[in-house]
Amino acid sequence: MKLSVWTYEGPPHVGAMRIATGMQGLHYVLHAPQGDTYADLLFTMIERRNHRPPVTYTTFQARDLGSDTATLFKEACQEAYERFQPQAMIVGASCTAELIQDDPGGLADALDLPIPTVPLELPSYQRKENWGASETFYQLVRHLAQPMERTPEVSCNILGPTALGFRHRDDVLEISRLLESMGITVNVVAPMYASPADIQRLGAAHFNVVLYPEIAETAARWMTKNLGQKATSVIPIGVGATREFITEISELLEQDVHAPETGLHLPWWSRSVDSTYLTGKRVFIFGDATHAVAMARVATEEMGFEVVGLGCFNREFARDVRAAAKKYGVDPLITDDYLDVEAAIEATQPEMILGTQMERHIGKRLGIPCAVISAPVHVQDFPARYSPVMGWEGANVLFDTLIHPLVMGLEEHLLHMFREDFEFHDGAGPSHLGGHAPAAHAEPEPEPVQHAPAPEDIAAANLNGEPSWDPDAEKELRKIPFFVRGKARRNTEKFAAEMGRMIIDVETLYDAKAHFAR
Amino acid sequence: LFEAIGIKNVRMLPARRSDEAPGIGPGTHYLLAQPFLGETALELERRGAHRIAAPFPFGEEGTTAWLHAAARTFGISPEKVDEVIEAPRARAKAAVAKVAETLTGKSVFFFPDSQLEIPLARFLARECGMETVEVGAPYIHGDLMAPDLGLLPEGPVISEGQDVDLQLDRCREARPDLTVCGLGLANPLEAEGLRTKWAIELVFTPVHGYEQAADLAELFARPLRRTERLAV
Repeated sequence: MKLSVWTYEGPPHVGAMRIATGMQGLHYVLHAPQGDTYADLLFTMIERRNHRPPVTYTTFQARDLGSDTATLFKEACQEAYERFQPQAMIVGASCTAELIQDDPGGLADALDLPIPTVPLELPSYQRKENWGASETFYQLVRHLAQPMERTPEVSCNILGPTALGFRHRDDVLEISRLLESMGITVNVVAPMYASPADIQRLGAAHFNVVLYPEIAETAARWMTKNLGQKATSVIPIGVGATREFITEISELLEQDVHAPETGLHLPWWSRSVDSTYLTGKRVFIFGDATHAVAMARVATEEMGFEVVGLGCFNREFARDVRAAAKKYGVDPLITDDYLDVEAAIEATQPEMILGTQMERHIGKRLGIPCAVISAPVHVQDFPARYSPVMGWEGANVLFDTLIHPLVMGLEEHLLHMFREDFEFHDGAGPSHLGGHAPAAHAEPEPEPVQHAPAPEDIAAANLNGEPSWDPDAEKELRKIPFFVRGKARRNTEKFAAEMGRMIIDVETLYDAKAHFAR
Repeated sequence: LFEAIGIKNVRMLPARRSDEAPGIGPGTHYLLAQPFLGETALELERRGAHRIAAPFPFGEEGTTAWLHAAARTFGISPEKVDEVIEAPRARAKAAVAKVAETLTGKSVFFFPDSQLEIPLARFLARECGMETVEVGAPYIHGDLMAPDLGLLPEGPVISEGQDVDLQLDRCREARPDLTVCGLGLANPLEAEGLRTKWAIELVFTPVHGYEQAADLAELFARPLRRTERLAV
């Protein structure tokens, strides 16, 4: 575990909390020191939940460590059972409590409570939040789900949504509606909205829909093996993927099922003439593997963007990102250090970032617009309105989400043409984003230099291998609108380096422009 | 470029600031950079200025002819001009050729919109290898357009003025690969499966001269490339 100002994922017990908080009638007894209760605010503040997470913390203090923390845990467990009367409990330790090795599972067993108690082994120092959520859900399913008779009608479970997930609330609704339009009923949605009793009847469904593999893939695999239920593998984000998702269900059920594309607007919106300006926009994508890979497809096939960077923070699913990155001809970026991500974004100079809350901050600092497409997200990305990213309406939402941070088509030209005008100057940014625009950070005016670069300057440039800009060329560069200037600068420098020109003059700038013409 | 060629006193009309407006009189020669300046030309002539007849400076060919025409007026040798424009001209040719890969062999249909239609059709036909089906212009100023019309290959229907229903009939009949039209027609035509280019963008975007010749070609290539890219 690495301590950092910002992290993409919390420790694994936060993943367990996401499961417990999403579910009904389940309680989590967490052996944790005072202070670990901070995790409540992730749910009550960021997701605006109006109830505390169903978690009892043992909240031992330093002075308890010399005495009997095991008894403390047992008492907390017993009291939690009596107070909350849950249908089942999960018990475990947070990162700090793991070190005192009290064995919460064994202790809870010894209490002999009349409800199922599922022990969680979450190695805090090797694993993270998504893994913790996945492991918790898997353990619950393994302990509670039973093989049983299938429902008479064709039904499925929807697996993966949790508390604090990116658009999980609306994705579940959208996909439920989609399945309904295909004549398929939903048996259980889990873990979010499910009670332990619902987990027990997962086996009644004919198949499983895995919406969030990061959370549900392990459990779904166990269910395939032990309950004989096939699972979907296509994530229905975007038009193409949703169509494939429907085809996959058809194949899996071995019967023809269709869904009307009622209310789907993305294809026409993307083909309408205003969208021409989106063509070839260079985007950098970073998030959890599932969302990042899905968005790369939407960005290229459905928006007409060009992917210039692709990565994820969860190593468990890095393979998917590597495969996708290869397809788009970019280097995969697998890291949980946001500083690496910032460096990669700075190096590629994309016209837009599709990322998490962290990339939104990075974009702000670098003056690059960003749309949020993956957890972790901040409070503003839990919208009040219906905003799925899956299914037909999800595709519509994505179209809007991806164009909103950009400068509009004709506005691009106005910004170029009237760049010396007060309304369209460099710092102005997209007009519709007002004063909070991801405005380009001001580039310093080039120093007025009266003479040609001194030989020693050229020598210095040669030494570090980087071409230097002559003042006239700098001035010419500044005529290029801010949202593509970074790319022009980078291309020109690359071109100059390739041609062995150590000074970039106006001719070099034009030569590079001609060189990179499509 | 004018300075390198040897034409020293060159001013832009309009100037960026009103207090920098050039003085105009019988000693002034002027070159039009946009085709929709008939009224301006008339006013300049009234003040005694002389128009230098030339194709408009769109594309490598138009720009070259435009500069040569200016040089000729001031008695500067064509060799001198060729020497000055050698590098930018080669750059423009190479850059346009790259973009033209998308355009070559494709057909284009112009609805009347900005009066840029004839010079642009000339550029697309001669430098980008496009087949012009119809070139409609809202108004054709015979004198100003003569140099460009002279360069336009035989074949396309040249229509002046607007009769949108008849033009739409002809456009649907021809089903061109690209239709250049106004904002009002673009989406309805797109919905019929025809790719379009907003004429207004050609007015708003800096597309003159050598260094921007490929940008001009790119404006026409982008809708076609978008179709290739999209899978929805």
